[in-house]
Amino acid sequence: METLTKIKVNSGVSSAKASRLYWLGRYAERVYLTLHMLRKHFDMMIDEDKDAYIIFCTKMGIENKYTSADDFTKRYLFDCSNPESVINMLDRVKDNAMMLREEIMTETLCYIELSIAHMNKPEVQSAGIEGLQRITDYMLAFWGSIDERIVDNQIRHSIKFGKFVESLDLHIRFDYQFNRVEGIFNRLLHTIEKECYICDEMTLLTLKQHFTFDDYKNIGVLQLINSLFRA
Amino acid sequence: MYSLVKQRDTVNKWMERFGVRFGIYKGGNFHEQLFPFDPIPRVISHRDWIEIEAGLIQRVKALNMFLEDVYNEKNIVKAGIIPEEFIYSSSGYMAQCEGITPSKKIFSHISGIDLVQAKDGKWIVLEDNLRIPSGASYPMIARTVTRKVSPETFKENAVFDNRNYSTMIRRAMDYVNIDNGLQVILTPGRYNSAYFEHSYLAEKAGVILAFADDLIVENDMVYYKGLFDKRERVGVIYRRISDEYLDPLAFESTSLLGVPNLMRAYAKGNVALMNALGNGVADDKGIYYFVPKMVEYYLGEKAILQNAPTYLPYYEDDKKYVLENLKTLVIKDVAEAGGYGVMFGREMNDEQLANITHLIETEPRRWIAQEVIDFIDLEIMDGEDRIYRKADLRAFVISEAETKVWHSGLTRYTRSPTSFIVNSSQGGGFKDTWIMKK
Repeated sequence: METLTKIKVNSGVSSAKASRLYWLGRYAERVYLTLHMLRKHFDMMIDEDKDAYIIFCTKMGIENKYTSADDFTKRYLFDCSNPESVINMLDRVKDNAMMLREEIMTETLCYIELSIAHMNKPEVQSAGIEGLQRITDYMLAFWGSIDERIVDNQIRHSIKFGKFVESLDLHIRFDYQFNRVEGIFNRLLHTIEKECYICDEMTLLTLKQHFTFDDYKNIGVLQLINSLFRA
Repeated sequence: MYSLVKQRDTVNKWMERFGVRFGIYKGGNFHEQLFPFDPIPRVISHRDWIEIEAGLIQRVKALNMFLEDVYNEKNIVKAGIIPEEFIYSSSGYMAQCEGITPSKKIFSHISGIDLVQAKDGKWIVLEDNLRIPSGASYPMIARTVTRKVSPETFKENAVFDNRNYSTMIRRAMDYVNIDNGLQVILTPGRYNSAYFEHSYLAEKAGVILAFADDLIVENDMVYYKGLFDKRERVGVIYRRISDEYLDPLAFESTSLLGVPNLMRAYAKGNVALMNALGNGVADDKGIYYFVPKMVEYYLGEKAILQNAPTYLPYYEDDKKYVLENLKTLVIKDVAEAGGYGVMFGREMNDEQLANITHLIETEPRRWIAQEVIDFIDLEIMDGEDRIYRKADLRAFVISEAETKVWHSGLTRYTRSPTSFIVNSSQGGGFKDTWIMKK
């Protein structure tokens, strides 16, 4: 059909665009994994440790400014005025995604739109974490759409580079075992080896030396992981 | 069409899913809101369209010829058809553009012409928009959605497909592209009211969406700044930034939206700008009065599409008529746009009438007055009811090797039963515009 222009005649990645691609990946993965980690801690709060949310805050590296588990549930998930809330993370995903519509396409961006619309529904907010399974589903669809629709390797790998950096960071913070974290590290390396120009090679080299069974939880390793991006 | 109307909620859910919004500033704060969509389309018969299309092509050709003339020989002024002061006092006139002829001599690549249909069926031009007319993306995405939710509607009705707008834009970009450079849409950013359109058109036209920081001018050439100082030559910029903010070194020095030295690159013919700089002189509300005369002067033809009856207080006879008939006229400030600066005499109290009389007497060039066109009302859905509201039509004319009219348009309607102002910034909604194939 002549009417729809789908072939991209130009491609170009500026420093600012590279930064948006990277942070799109990071924030999208942060939303997905935060919900995953939250579910584990909410489960602990049932009959194991009613204050497990405090452990969550410590591991996430955020201040425990919450007065109770209920207060945490409301404000950490849905409070737009709380900069670290999940709904704000989604807004950051949207900020970046909106400015990349021509690269990720409307069909991918729409999973973020749907997520935000869903989180803003009063009935979802009153259901707490249980009402957010759909956000997890949307985020998985988002990643599927990234893989299926973005044919430009540089664009796709830049987003996934951000995803794996975030995934590494959170899995280390939440004390995952080495073999699990190493698997994510290998996926990051696999992405970098393809068409991805926004990883600092010297930092990566240093990280490879320190990414060992004994040292992977050291703060220095986390710092290296968070310094991998350059554009 | 009944099934489409029944599926209104589904259509609106799709619009929300696709993020079809426009931005608006209220009380200094930026808000994004959904652009209300009415499922009942405006239907234009094939017969009507043939005349509208011919009239629009004729009008835009004349406007392009006027722009070339006004920044070069000024024959239309020498011939006494347009007074000199209407050119030089226009806020859209840019002295910096004198002597510049853009790539392929096209000034207005994308023209948005606002029309209304009077109750006698005649189509009347209300306004020309030759700078950065917006709005085409809304009917384009609405059609994408309505075809999904109600395919039978389009099996039963032979309507021109309107999803080719992005292809038309890209062809226009290809045509004026210099040295086969990159093609970019330059946006002021996501807090612009039309940002959805910028990003959607970039996606659908397959071109780069650029922000000011992404571009740099070196040796009078424009480059896209890639990673690690890689430079890629830009051949054409579809800019969605107003003239005065486009180059802080040439125009508004405080602008952070523009690209320093862009004007130099453009003046040297090293980059094409869509639309050209300085087009505001031709879509000035005062110049509007002269467009039918331009058609006659440049093309030797009578204008097919007529203006609304317009008076220029600049002329003594017109001023006298305007002041005597203020209560029945609509008064427009030529410096305003977006539905602002429009005053209906019938709605003004004595004090307001005295004020406007004083302003017209002291600044006659600033105002035009028009007879109020009693344009037709269109049916819209209000809950489960069908009601009638005023609506206009913005038609989009694309100028490349040929001048073509997009077979659709943005139909905007007012949501207030007493208002004639249809602008989205003032709370209006939109409809799809169907051009029938036969």
